[in-house]
Amino acid sequence: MKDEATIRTRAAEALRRPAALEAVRAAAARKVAQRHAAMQALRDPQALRRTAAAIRAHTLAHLPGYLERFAAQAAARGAHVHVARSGAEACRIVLRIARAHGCRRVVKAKSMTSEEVGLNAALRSAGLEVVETDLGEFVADAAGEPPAHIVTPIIHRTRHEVAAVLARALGAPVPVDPAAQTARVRAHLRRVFAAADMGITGANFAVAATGSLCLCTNEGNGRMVTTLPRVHVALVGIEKLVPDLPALAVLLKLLARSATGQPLTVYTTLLTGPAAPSDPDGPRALHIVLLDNGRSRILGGPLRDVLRCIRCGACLNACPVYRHVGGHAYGSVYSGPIGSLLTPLLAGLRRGLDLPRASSLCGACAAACPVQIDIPELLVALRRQTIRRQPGRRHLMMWSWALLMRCAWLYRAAQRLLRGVLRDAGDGWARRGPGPLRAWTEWRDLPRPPAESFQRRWARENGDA
Amino acid sequence: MREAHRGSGPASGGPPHDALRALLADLHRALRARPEPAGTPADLRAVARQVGPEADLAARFAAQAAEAGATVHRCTAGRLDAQVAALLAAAGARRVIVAGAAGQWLDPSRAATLAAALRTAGLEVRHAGELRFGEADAAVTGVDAAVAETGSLVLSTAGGLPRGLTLLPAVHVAVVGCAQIVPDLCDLMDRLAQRELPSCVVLATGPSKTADIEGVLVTGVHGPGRVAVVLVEADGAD
Repeated sequence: MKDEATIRTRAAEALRRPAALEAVRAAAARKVAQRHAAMQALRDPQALRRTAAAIRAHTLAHLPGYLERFAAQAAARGAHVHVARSGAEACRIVLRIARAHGCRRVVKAKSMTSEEVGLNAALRSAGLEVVETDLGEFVADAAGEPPAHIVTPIIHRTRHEVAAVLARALGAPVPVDPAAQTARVRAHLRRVFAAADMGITGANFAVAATGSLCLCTNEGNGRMVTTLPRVHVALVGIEKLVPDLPALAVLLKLLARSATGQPLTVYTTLLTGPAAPSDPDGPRALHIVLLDNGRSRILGGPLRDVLRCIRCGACLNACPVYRHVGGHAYGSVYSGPIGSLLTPLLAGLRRGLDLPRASSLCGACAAACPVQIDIPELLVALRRQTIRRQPGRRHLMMWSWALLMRCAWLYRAAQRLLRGVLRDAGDGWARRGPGPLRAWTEWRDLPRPPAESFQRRWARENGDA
Repeated sequence: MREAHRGSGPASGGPPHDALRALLADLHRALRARPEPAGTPADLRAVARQVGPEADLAARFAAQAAEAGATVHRCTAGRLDAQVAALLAAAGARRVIVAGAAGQWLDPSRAATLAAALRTAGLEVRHAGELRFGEADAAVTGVDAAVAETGSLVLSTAGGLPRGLTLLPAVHVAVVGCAQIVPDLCDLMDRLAQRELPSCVVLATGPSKTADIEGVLVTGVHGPGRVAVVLVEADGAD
């Protein structure tokens, strides 16, 4: 019960800010329409989804081989490849890289993986200056809050709120017009880019055959971060592998269409090794940090399919729960349906156990997922796994119910008891039960049980014993 | 940084080979615990291809690029100088970098001719090496290829051009020869897979944009806010 209260209390709190939630709802509805239109424009969208799912499943089933190939190819092109088993280790590795290269000022392109391991906090407490360069992340960071959506971090903020946050961050008044706000941030960040000595990104995909990283952005900050600073660090979850460039084409065709309805993001960047000695610009050193942080454990479990995720955010936009309570209610870096799986799984089932419950299993997410992850089935599997960790009261309830179902006279006695305790509101409906029934009837109305059960009436009218 | 490092280097704490081997061993163990057959998917192109070579590639490219927010202008090779000059004037660009690369339609000699014509038209034309922050109003470049399916320009470091060239100036004019257009992303990836990749390949589709604030579309965030594509048709006398 305590775990269940957590997402409920956060959701209740979120519901007290209807304006923010209206923005979430409107944006999600827009994204759903855009995704639908983009998928309909494809020649055979379902076949494409099946192929993408097959590519992801195949890659995961052969992950060690692909990882090894990727590491070898990347190293052959001059990249340094590191392996971080945990989030803490990832932070340590990045700090070591910064120290080895004498880097103090870091610019970051959006990376969910870096949020997952708390990289910003680790770098800042070591005295490095860290600036988020994705517009939404910049604002969220300046406001001191985590992103509210995998793809659109400040989906819940109005332009007035953004103006206030930016005014504080930039030290000057900022207009409420989004275009003007963007221009202010652009000017500010140009100066920051020019002075930065390390760029940190994630990667949307890692191509095994060529040792390349693929970054998909719309703003151009991904390119800035990998062009101007002299060191580039890429933090890449091990599940991001794809076998080769033709397979990458399939996944690219689905990623942006699922996320925002575009055929491709504005910039799809393929990086292979650091800048060549003859290149006029670009990072002289490329460090790729391959992140495990629980993924290898998930690979060996029944919920392996969750690793297929390409982080498009389509399931969030489709989910009625997400649309009504927003991303922060999930209390974690990954929100929405996929977050309800990833958060507890990456944490080794030590936290986030309330999240798989926060679903009606409607299946909108599974229908939207470009790589055909059967999220409802996985949610049920996760619920089954966590059943042993439930509070005693729930076990007692389930045990009692099973007993009633098995024992006919006990069931009949319970029926009579129920009729006795359920108070009629006067119209034949019982709206409030006493004691333990109170919570259950808070959101449910029951028709009051009749004086005689069907079985008794049948027995009476037909003369059976 | 020499290739001989092969994954180790000044910033790795201990041989990363060991860490990688340990991870791979754990992954093998995990997969053995739950073996699930997953063969290689059959011919991807048959399913994934959206645009075939029989399509009107120039028209398809133009439509997609326009949808992504670029402007597309078709002209013959003879009218190129005038077209580019007009675009730059419309964008209010005075300081311009013109750069072509071997393998592009706008190769170095065509680029030199274009640069001369623009100087005659009164513009200040610089070289790619002289690029500084905010100093160039516009960049006029060729492309390595263009993709009809998505309306994308393929820009890379292959020609020895800086990454920042097509990123920093506010206006980008891209000169594309019609023969450079490939039908589909699958074709592009096949082509890229045939040779060693340059250090950086960018598929640029339209101007830089965001909708992070209230879902309002704003262009020109970090990359160019204005992208004009000049599609050069093959004409009899080039």
